[in-house]
Amino acid sequence: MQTLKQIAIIEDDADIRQLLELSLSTLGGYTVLTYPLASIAIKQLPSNTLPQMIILDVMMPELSGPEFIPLLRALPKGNSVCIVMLTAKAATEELAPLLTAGANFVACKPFDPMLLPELLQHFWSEFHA
Amino acid sequence: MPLSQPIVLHTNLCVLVVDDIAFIRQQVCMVVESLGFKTLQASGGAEALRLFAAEQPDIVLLDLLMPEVDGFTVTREIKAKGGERWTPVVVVSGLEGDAHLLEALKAQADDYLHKPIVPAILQHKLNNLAQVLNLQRQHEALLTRSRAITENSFDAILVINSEQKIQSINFRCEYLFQTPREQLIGKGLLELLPKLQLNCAKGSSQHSQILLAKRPDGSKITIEVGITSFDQDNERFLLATLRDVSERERVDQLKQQFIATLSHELRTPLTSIIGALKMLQGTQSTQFNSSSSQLIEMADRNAGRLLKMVNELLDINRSVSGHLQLNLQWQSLNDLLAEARLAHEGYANRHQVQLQLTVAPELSTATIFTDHYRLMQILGNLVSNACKFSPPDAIVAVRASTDDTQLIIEIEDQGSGIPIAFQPRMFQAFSQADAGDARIRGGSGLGLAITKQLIEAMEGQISYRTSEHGTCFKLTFPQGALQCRP
Repeated sequence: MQTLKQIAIIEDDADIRQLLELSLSTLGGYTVLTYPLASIAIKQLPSNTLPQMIILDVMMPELSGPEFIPLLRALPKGNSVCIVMLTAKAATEELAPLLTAGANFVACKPFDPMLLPELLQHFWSEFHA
Repeated sequence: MPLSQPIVLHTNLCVLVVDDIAFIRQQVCMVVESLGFKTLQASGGAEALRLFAAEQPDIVLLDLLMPEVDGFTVTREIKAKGGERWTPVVVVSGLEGDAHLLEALKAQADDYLHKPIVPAILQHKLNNLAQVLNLQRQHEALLTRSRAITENSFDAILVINSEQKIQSINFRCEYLFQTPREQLIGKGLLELLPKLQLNCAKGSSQHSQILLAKRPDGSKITIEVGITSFDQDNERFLLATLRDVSERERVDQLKQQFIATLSHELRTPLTSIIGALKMLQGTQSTQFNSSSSQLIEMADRNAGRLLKMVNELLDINRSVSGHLQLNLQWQSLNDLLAEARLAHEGYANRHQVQLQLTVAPELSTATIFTDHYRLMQILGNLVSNACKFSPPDAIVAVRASTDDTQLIIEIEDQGSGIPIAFQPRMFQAFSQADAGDARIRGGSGLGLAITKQLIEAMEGQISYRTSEHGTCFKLTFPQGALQCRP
């Protein structure tokens, strides 16, 4: 298992994006890429070196999280990216469709930024288990 | 006409007096008027019929033997033209014998008098007829009134005969089924309401059913239906009242969608607020003096409260719309209870209350089939309530036991009990005890409602006992949800 170093954040709410970035870079010490929309991310992600993990919002204009996943998976090595969906929905029945859509893990908003790096590290280990 | 009004004899009743001899006619009129009736006079059959059509008298006093159009003809014509309206005809004759009177009765005359007329007999006959006419008027008034009520009702009303065929309907029913009356009458009730349960039609039952009605054109509509029965002429009839509830259901759905959307939208800014505060507390806390730390703690605590309310709103909405789903798994009872205790230790400390957890020895290795998140929510609501309403230095006890058929979890506090007035509605959504107690302010009033619905979704039950020395909530879960390993 490689060490988790690079994480991309795709989130349209600027404040939440900034919070995620702070948490992951300052606390987690990761290299962080941020994108305000999935439609922008799919064009700008470095296709030769995809990030190891993507934090993906669900509801975004133009291209939603679930719509973004198959496009990413279709890229070379797209399957090796660990996708963590971040959703404001919390009910069990609302999370299952996100996993079916191809996310590897689902985390709920609001999240505790102090605990987020630890949670993502846990997901990363599970992803490689 | 008010129905309680007593019968007043011959008020405004009009008698048509028909005789070709003017002297007799005027004498009879004098007698009739002296009895309180109004009179009309006709000197022959043709004039009598003209006046009858034009003035609609209530009673006809009719000489039988007249030139040209005689009394027999007039009787037959009046009875033929009368329609629904009954106008008594009293024939008068000076002839000997009964043959012509019999003939007049055959022509549907209602009564007869011999000439010369005895005023006392005339008086009694007219009074009797006036009584019947008044009853008839009251009957008509009742019918008019009941028709007006039925036809103007906002609900569809159907009368069903003992063969379950529609016998009569009101206007709203035509509107509801978008079908003219004549096409609905005679139809089987179950053709329109295929899923109707008829066995619940008792005396004056108020139970209603909500089901899909089928219009003759095949379209369907959600209705609420109430069925009662009544007996008439040895036949049992059903009275069905139907209300279109499709609009109500649509509005309910809209409301639920609105709450769901609102709750989700509120979570987004809350995510930023709570996240920012947590980071401030976690990373910068050393830079704050104690009052700044207190303020940040206050903001964080209240953002947390707001989030809890938003979540509760979503939950109650889900359980009302039947969308509450459980994620059931076997889990260690001990671990679950320990986790709940740990989660509320801080809260208990703030209220200076001691949390005490006791698990019966036979349950020490037990596992339960439950939804982890929802059970934590149930215990959280009850434990935090118990802490909130306990005096300082009190003990909040959480006990788990089994009586061989079910798992029992009790949460007992030493508070002052639940006000009697609040008890009937304490499990209802948006209800809170109305006391000037600052500790209960700020909640959504949904906690206990959600708790009860969650427990019932897990096939469990919640009960309580309360006194001025404390309250104990008792949760029981069915045996199937509990496994005790040796």
